[in-house]
Amino acid sequence: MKDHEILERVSRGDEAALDYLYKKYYKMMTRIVLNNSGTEDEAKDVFQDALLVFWQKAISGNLVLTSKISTFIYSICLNLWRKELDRKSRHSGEMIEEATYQDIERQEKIKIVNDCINQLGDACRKILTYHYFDGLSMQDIAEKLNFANTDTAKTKKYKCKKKLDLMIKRNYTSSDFLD
Amino acid sequence: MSIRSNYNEQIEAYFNGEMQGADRLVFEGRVESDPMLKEEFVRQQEIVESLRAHRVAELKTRLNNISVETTLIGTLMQSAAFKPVVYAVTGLAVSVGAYLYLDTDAAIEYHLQGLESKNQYALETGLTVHTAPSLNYRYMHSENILPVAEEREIAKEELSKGDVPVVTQEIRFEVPEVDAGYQQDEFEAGPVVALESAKRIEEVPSVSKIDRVNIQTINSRRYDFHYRMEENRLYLYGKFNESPYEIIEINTPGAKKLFFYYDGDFFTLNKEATEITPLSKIENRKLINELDVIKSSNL
Repeated sequence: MKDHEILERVSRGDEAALDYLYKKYYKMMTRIVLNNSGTEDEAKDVFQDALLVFWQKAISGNLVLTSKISTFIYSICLNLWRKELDRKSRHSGEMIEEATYQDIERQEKIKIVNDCINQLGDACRKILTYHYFDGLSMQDIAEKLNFANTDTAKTKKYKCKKKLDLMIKRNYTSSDFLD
Repeated sequence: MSIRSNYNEQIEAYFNGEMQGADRLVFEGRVESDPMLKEEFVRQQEIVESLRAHRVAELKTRLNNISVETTLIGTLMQSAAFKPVVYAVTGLAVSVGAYLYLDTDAAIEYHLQGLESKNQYALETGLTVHTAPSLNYRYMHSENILPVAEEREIAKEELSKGDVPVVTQEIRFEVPEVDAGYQQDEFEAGPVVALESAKRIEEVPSVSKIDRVNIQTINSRRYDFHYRMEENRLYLYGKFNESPYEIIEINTPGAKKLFFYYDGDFFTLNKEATEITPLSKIENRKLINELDVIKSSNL
């Protein structure tokens, strides 16, 4: 598959193109980490994160490739692993700070939100994640989820978001979200 | 339109990426200064971040289910225990290699030990240490004047004593008895055909026992066209596979002279040469002619 073909498929949110890139470049990209004192798990994490950065950029339509896709992903991997090594070296001599009350409260809030997301129906979850993470347009969401048209996708997205807000509000009063 | 509804629209535009540049900065300033707006903003931020994290986890699960070929070495190399073992083994191999390369005596000793093991294995299993089909045509010459029948009896006796023949890939030309007046081809038929060198050969007293000389070729980068004798075994160092070679043994009373023929030239073999010695070519024309006659008489 040629680079422009991959880019075109990714921009439509075709996850099979992501699978293709993952298989094709796994060894090449994980070697960056493995050859620089990283483990296989760390290598895999870095490559997956890099691939998702590429995915988001490509879907948004703002990505103008001036090099091969492999070069682009390679440079992301390299940057991510440098950041990780830097983070490791900074934290290696420090004591792990005890979690503050605010941290615990935030974690609890996130857990509630995640539970609510999991309780949403499959279609609602897909519409919202495609919209907020992938940045897919309503037209692409409509095509991907076989909706009649863009307006249907818009209405469904609005309703799903309202539903999620309500579910979360039921679990927390508004004062819980402010310090 | 209520204030809350207006907030929601602005927050939605902010997280959708529709609010850009100066509008975005102005809105962020307002969030910090308006507690009600901040309350709603933080709540929406939590939701959007969780939705994104959910999608990331979903995509990563998808990627984790894709089978990628990981090599055994790659898997092992990430093990904390395996890495030091690999480094230690590599270091040891390099050290031993350097030691053997620099210390010739140790290298020869090591080499001899290896050969000993190989020979032992070959004797125990009945296999030959020669791995390639041999160009190792060996001629053993003796000047025993013995009747054919007697020799056959001796051979029978030796076999009946339970000597286990060693199977080798060598092609062996045994000449049990050579009468100076006989040519090998005509020996069975009986007619006596005198050779030019008959007198000279007759002058050399014979010994009755024929000792086999085992030959082993060793491909060595350090030694080319060298040899070494040890316990009736001839080790040839170098590439001897380009043309056939022969060993010519001439028995004298209590001793045996060995000559080596390779690629049209004859070489002297010293039985006492236990160290690796270069093969020295025989230049004496008379001796060469004699050896040539002996060699050709046994073809």
